[in-house]
Amino acid sequence: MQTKLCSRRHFLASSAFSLSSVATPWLLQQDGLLASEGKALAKPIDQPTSFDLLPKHPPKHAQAKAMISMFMLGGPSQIDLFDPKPELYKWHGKNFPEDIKFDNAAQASREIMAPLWKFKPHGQCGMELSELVPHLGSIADDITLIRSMHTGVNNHLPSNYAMNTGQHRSGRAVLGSWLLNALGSESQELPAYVALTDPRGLPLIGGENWSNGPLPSIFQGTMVRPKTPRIFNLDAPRHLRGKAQRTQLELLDALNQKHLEEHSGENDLQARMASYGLAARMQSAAKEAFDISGESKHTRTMYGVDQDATRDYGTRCLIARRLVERGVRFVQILCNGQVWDHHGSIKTALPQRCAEIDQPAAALVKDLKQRGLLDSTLVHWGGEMGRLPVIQFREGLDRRDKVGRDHNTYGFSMWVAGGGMKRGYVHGQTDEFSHHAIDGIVHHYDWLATVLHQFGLNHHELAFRSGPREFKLVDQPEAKVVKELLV
Amino acid sequence: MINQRSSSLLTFMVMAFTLLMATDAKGDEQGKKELTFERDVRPIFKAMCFHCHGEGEIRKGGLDLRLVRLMQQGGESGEAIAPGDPSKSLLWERIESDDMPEGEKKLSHEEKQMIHDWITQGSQTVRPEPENVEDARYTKEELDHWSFATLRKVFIPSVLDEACTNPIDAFIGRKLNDAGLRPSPVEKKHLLIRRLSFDLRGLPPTPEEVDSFLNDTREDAWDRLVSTFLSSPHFGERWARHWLDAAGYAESDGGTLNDPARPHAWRYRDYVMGSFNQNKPIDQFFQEQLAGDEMIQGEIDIFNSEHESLLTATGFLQMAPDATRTSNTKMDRNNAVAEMLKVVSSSMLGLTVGCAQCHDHKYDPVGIDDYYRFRSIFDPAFPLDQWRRHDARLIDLTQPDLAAEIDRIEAKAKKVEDDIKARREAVALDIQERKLADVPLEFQEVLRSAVRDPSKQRTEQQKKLLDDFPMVKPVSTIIGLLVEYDAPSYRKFEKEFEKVAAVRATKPDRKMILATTEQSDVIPVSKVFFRGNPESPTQKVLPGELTALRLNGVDAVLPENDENLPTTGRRLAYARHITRNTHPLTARVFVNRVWMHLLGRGIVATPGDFGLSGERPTHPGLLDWLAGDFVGHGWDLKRLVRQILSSHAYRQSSARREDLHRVDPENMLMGRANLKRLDAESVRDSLLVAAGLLNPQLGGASLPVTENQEGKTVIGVRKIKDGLKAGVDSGRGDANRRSLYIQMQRNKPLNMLATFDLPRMTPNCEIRPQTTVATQSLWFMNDSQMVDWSERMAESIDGDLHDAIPWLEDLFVRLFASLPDKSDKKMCLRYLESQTLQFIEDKDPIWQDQLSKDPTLARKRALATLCQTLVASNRFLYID
Repeated sequence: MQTKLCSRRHFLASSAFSLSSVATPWLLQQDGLLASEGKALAKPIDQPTSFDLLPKHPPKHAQAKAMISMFMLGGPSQIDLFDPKPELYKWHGKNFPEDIKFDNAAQASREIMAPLWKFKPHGQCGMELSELVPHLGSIADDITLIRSMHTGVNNHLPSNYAMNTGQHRSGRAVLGSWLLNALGSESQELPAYVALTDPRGLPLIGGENWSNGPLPSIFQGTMVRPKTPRIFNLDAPRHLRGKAQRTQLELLDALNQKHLEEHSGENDLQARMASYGLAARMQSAAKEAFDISGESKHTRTMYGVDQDATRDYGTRCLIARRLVERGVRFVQILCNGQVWDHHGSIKTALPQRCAEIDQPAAALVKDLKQRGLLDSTLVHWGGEMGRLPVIQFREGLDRRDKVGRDHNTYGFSMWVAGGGMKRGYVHGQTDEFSHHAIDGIVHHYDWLATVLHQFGLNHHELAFRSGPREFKLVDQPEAKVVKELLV
Repeated sequence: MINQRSSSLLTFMVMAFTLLMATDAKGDEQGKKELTFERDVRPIFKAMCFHCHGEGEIRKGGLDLRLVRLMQQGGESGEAIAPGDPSKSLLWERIESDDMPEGEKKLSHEEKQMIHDWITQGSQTVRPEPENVEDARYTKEELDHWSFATLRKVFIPSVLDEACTNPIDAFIGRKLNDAGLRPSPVEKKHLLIRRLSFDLRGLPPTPEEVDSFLNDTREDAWDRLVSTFLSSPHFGERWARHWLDAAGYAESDGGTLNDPARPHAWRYRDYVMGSFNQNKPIDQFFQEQLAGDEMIQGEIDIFNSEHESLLTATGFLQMAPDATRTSNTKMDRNNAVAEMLKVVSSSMLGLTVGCAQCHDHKYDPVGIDDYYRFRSIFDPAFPLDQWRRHDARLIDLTQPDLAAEIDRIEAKAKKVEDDIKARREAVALDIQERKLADVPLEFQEVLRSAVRDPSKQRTEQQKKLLDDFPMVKPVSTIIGLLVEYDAPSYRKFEKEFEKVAAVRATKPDRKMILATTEQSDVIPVSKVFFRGNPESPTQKVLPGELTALRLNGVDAVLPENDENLPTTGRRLAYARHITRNTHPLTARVFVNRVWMHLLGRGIVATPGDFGLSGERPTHPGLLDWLAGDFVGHGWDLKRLVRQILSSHAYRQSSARREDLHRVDPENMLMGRANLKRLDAESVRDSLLVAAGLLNPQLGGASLPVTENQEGKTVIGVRKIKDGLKAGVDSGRGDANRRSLYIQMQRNKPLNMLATFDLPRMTPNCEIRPQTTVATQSLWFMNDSQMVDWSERMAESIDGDLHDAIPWLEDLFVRLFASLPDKSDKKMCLRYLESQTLQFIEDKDPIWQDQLSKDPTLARKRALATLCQTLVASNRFLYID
């Protein structure tokens, strides 16, 4: 895996950014300096299509313009959060009667464990949700809950790749990169695709979570720091602020143009030049976007920014809203490691995790709604798998309070809101044990096809050629847009 | 676009085995092709179905898909295939409906079509199937994979161009010629010396070196330059960095949040550097890293520097992430071993053997039993049940006189320290008395006895009094809070303690070696772990070569326990085996790395994966010729480097040409040189050179890193003032040493290096990733370190505007190894003029005050920003 990650070639990065917005080509104009030497500006030879981040119209009507994905790596337990199965109480302590696939054979058991928390209906729609997610309950009428997700690849890595890149192997581009490739960004001053990571550490597979794969590197996600300053070096030194730095960048651009003439068609060099343009604009725009101090007390309280448990996640959700407001196309909020992977100690760990995330996640939906942004912003909350209805023993039979649940990728839940998704709707179902999705199954590729559809894109057509190969986010011929989810 | 796998280009004369891989027919249209089980269908089944229908003891539904014969026999549900008729084939029915593969990822449309067509065509096999199904575990197609065949002699292709005297150019020229192309002309001399200097030393050439090379008209000027650079100690530094990437060099445990440091790991780094500088033969270099401990005859002798070097070399096997100092379960130990094996196999063998830890490799003919046979070579040094954590593996080689010196200094420090502590305690006692004096007389004695009673068994009355008079505390507490009780005394003692620390700082380090050794009498029984789980051992295995290599005639005789050695001798025998001149992988993989570092791309583009899912060589004949030549001349690295550098291929211009670009935009055919971006270390090191700050000291303990107030990881140690974090002490001049010497803490990479793509070692890095992101631009524009370095650069220049040409030329040569042309000069001078005016107009009061005292400051500042701009430019950041 590491080899793949390291060897991903950086290529074809070019951009329509130019320095023009920060630097009128001051030096170039002076006395026709360059022109007098008889050379036109670099003209790339036989250049492949150049790539940029300017906003583009999708081929079809788009319901969604931006997306915020709250990715829950590890696999939140659908049995204990989203998918009530009254039958399981009768089976509690008895052996699971059918075939079951474990990830951790060494600690596997067949003993069924009923949901550990109570469910009750919420909202006018009566959506049944666990007592661990009361805030989600308060937006039940605004979301679609999918109880029939399925990737079928029973470990974190492949299933994570499946959910984000459409393929279960590493090396492909993630959804966010595809959206940039197809639609560009509404903002030329902020990174078009932002990954907000947890201060406790990077998610499993680190940078692969926002990797452009074979797409040009301009479509790579930008990971910002998990704490302030979110981006280093946004402040110019005092003596360079304003005109002094602009003059400097003009000289830089002129020097680089000259160098480029000797290397016509070298996209890396062009991408580097463009990155100075972005950097210059980011200095003011990004500082402002990442600074939540101007938000009202009411808003901050709603996101839980003023409480220890929710401070970090709340802050990141609030930043996500601010970014989308400012034209950023795709934001993903990531957890550290695989924190929802509750093989053990689920009784204590799951409530803790929910206490950090439930309130901020619900606040994000409420806030987008009250600002009129929810219709055009697709919100996603979910992981790459769910969990099994049976007990996994972490510490041996005598430590029953340490029990957990093993992986389940055959039937799990996630919720979505906005961007043209139905409101107060529950889609699909699993079998009586919440093991296999049996009705309205949504495969990872169906989900990705549906997202593309909401952005006005056709999953059969969205493709990228690299040399002799053609890549697609969704290349499963059986993939389909899940129309039942849509308004 | 060139398809590197297409056979038309591989027409030159090489041995038959290299041609085999060229007939990869994936590009053909399926319809026309006769499909066979072994070539077309089995790879799909192997990756997707064998896990349940053929591998190990498991045959779900009684169905075995390893042979066509067995499919026809079928399983519990009857025959699986009816050759010639997919509609009557149960297998096709289950696959088409996505019933199978069960749960797992489904087959793609293309894969299904392939299976369908194969059945329609009559379910052909390439050859009769073996009697015993176990003989069908690997197919001839897999075993014939190009990299498993032993090295054999390769003929140098004949070339049309008589001027071509270097065999490398013959191989490259031949393929270019076949594509109707010519190589590019030789690069300009000043760009060549810059390229060479970075490639061999990781540093820019000095103006003197540039001058002397440009004026050297002798025929062998280039060879002389190569020799000079090769003999520089910086060669070892530069090339150590390359190998340290492959070895996953890190100075912390990894795998856990706290990421404990490995303070002695740097000795391995110095070993690698020294080995390259001595030009140690690479076979010996590999043997020492795998089995240095087993090469020591008799007892370890702390006076024997050879022993020290051999033990240090085995640090190679200790580089991988290993969390067992933090969490020491069997699983954690098993993970540490697995990571180590990944490093060994990808760095030395170019194979992803690690993928067979839980089940047979999905692409390569490497079985789970192969993995555990490979692992058993290392088991005696890494026994899961008699595990030793990193600190327990350290070997103390401190010599007696040095140890005595350390003890003497410590005793001296201790004496001073004890004296300070005694006086501090007296002060604390005095404070305590003063606080007691404030207490009403009748309680004083009771309270005194309470705070002075070390047992802390207090009466109710004492407890109440302690609550009522919280200022009265035991002496130890008062010492702890001295800064609050009596700040001046606290500071006085802190100053004194600093002196103690200064004394201790003069203590020489103990010579602790992070080594891999075996414990006598510990020979674990190696077993295959079912699904990779160490709690589920199955059959016993003995050390052995991978089956795929054995079947290619590469067999190793590895002892279970060599009676002639105090150790088992397993690693030593294996190390000698893989460094035999005929071993198919070791030399090919190493030579490919060297090529990659010099030419910017490997002949095999996946240097850590020479297996079936890795890239095929662009120039297989060249790779084998280079490998053969390398082993035939004693595994001599510098000779190999010289060989490559003397080629025209290396010295070509990197400019893109329209004719090349049209046919070969990715430069697979090497019709030009590749433009390379400076790697993270070279960016920092060459900026230090430009600023005149580089401290060239070779080797030694690493420079510590810490987080500064802003959260950036920087060089230095955190200063503590009055018990609080306060700034960073960046160490006197040490901070300007080369990047190689900066502590490689996995969770805390130096911010500047991380910005420019320093790899994360999880567990190692085969190819440096390269990004172009705005944070790099922001670093050049705004980082305080960058600004500081620019100012230092400017200080070394006499920036007189009236006589600007000499210093401007000098500056360009220092930064770019080339002179500025007319327009460069004009641009720079205009910039300087205009920026100086702007700085004069800067109304900041402090600045205006400084300016009134020294009016030249504005120009100096403008000059500094000119330097900053020049190093931010692509001419600096890229190697043409």
